[in-house]
Amino acid sequence: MTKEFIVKIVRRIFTSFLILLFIISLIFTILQLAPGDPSYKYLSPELSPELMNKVKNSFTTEGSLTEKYFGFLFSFLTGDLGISFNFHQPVLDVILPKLKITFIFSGITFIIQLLLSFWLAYVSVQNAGKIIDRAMKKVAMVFYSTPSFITGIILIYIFAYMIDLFPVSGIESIDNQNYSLPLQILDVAYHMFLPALTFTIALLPIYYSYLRENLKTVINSPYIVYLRTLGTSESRIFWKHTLPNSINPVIAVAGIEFGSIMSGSLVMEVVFGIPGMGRLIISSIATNDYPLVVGCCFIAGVMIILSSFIADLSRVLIDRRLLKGIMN
Amino acid sequence: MIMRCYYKRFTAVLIIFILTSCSGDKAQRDYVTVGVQSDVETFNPLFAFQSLEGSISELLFLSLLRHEWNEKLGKLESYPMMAESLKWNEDGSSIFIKLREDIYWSDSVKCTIDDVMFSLAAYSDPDIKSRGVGAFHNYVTDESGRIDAQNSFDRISDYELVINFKKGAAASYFDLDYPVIPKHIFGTLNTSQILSSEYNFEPVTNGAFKLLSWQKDQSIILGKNEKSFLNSDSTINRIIFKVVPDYNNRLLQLKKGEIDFLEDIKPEDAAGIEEFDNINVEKVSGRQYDYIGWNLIDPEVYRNTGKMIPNKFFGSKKVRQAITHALNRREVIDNFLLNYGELAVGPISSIFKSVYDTTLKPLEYNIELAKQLLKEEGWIDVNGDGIIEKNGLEFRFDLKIATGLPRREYAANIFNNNLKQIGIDANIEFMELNSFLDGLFMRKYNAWLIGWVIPIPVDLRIQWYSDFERTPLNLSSYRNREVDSLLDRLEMKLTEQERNQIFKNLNYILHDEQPFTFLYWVDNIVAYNTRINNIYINPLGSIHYCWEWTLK
Repeated sequence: MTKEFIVKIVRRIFTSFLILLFIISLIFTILQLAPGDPSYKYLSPELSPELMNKVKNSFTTEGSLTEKYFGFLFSFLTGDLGISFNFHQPVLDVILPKLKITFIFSGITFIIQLLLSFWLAYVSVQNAGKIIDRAMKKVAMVFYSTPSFITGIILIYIFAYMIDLFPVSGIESIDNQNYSLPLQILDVAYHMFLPALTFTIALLPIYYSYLRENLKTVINSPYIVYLRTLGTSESRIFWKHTLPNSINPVIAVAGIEFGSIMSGSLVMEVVFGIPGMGRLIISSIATNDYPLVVGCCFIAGVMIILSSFIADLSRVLIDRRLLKGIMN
Repeated sequence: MIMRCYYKRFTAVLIIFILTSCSGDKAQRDYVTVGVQSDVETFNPLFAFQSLEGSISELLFLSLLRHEWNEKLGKLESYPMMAESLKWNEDGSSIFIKLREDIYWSDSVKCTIDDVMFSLAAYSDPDIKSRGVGAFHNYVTDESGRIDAQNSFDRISDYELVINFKKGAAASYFDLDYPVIPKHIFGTLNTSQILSSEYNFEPVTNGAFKLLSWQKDQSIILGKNEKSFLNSDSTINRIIFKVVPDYNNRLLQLKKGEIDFLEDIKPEDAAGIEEFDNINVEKVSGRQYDYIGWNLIDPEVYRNTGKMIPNKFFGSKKVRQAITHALNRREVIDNFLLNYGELAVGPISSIFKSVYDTTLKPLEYNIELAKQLLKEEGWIDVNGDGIIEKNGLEFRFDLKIATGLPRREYAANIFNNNLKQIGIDANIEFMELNSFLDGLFMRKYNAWLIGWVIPIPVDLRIQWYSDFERTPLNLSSYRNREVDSLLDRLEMKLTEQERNQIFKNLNYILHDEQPFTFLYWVDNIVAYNTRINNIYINPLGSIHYCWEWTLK
């Protein structure tokens, strides 16, 4: 690891931190301007105005806007994300279980998407121009242009209702806790099959299209042809040259996509009843649970920045020439 | 060859697993699954603000009384539950409570009268911010509304208590109607700790059911409390509240048998569900109505100066009556609600038979009569542009609606056309819910379309009493001395007949004055699997007292 490399990484971490600071400041400002009041749910026939004011004031901190901002920032930087108005629990305690579910679900689906799309792209390129290639391109186009919730509803209707093969929603059976560990895992996998399939179908065409084009370009490039004429084995050409050169641009896209899906996919979570980040963010906004809104947005920001950073780092490790461009 | 073998094995394992999983859930159905849209935030009845939280806390925590809906008389009847007996003194200023001695908390501690005293005090404590804050005006309280335990409670023994109410207060059983929480758990915490206590999520309970497990945003599993006096051998073993956020998904699960009980079915789906042999469909009528609210004062003048002058459009009773006559409310009932609704005449529905005035009839849909009434008020289309005017002011206003409810969007479009027919231009403006509510509570709007759920027992004070400061939900800025006087009388000691007559009078006045255009009562359509027996769908809540349910 060179000195230049370390300096650039430190610089990138520092700028990421500044971006996060900017994000939470922006959220703070937006929430100050946002309509709604968390105390609305306390309105009742008997609640006197004095008591109502008392309840209202309990949701805000005293002081000027600047004082509030710096108080908020200080708490944030010291790791105190506050207490959720709705759950009466520390914000992180509310977020972490949801993040875990989203992380497991999205992570596994993401890996499936990447592997499958690479395999399909490879098959497609190997059969370029043939019927299988043309069919795959068309199918990818259909999947790409179908909204994921439509795909989800169709899959649920066919596989969960008509054929009755999979559960309609949820991530585990009611009695999951009574099962042995391997059965618990299988049970979760069984419940996750349809959501994972829907999610895979939704993003697969993007990676497939990128990879197919990259593979096509790389495989037909002069240096690959030259390597073949030199008698280099096909597996060596593939692992050493084709794969690194064709996958690199896809990693950049995947990095951003992964960050986005880590902050939850509301539609998918609602359709399949997955208790993940997407639903939490929306419910916190709808119920004016400000600390939770800030916490969720912060986590979403961290996820996007982190995954983008890891993606860039991976690209640099694959191709050192990218160090200057990407890490700046 | 090896690969093909692996594929076969994998497929076989998968198929076996799928088949066993599919049959496993349905084979051992000693439970009832209730489909719900969203999860609860707490199990502590102190903070049960949502309807589902209230329903679940009723199953987990006992109250001194239980209420039953008398369909014939259309009123609520109260009976002792935790209490073995309840006895009012002669002038109704105090009540003697004898508690049952066979009630235990789930940690095996015996439930005593100290729990009752502690609970009532906790509900009234403004620092705890419970759902009962401010509701203890019949008790002797301090300035902040907190119960003065010393002057309110005479503790006789571990199971006996006398509660002394405030002098002249018209106390009733509803003043005792709070689920009791364990003193030995919450009494050791200070007020700020109660709000975030772990016992709100892992409760120590004394009800017909106890909490078995809670998978947040997935399911809540309640198990039968074998020690509870409410349960019998036939009481169902488990009730599972399954969180399924998507409506279509919930419906599919009901049809598939994964969900046994579901509320809020859309009218267009009800007929389809009725065709299933294993599903019963029923409805709960008369709890929720939609209305168009008219601001009776000028919102701009009120906002700028605090003065209340009559609204230039809706300040007149005749104009409001004319608009109600112009709206084809029946069309919404017929075409959107598919007859799962009823025209509204006022804020009290026909299910409350004892307080409902059957002589009142809904204002009929009559465009000509509407035009006539407007003309009498001086609203005429002078310049022939299709919009009526008075003193140079054209009758144009914004009708505000919160987004997200198709029924109201559908109705607003119909009403917009209806109003055009009488020369009124209502510009429908859809708003995000929080922005909508902000403006509504600040009395910024001339007109808005929203709904209301009528509480049981009926309470009209919150919407119709003139003191805006103390009735923040009087959104129409309605002021009527006669109504105030009637509402004040309801706070006094009255016979049941007198009380009923007052409600009838109130309904009559509000029907006549039309501070709202009361549109229609909307039924809550409930569907349940026929394997559930002994189920009584009633206005108190569909899962009310579900320990009486049995399974076929």
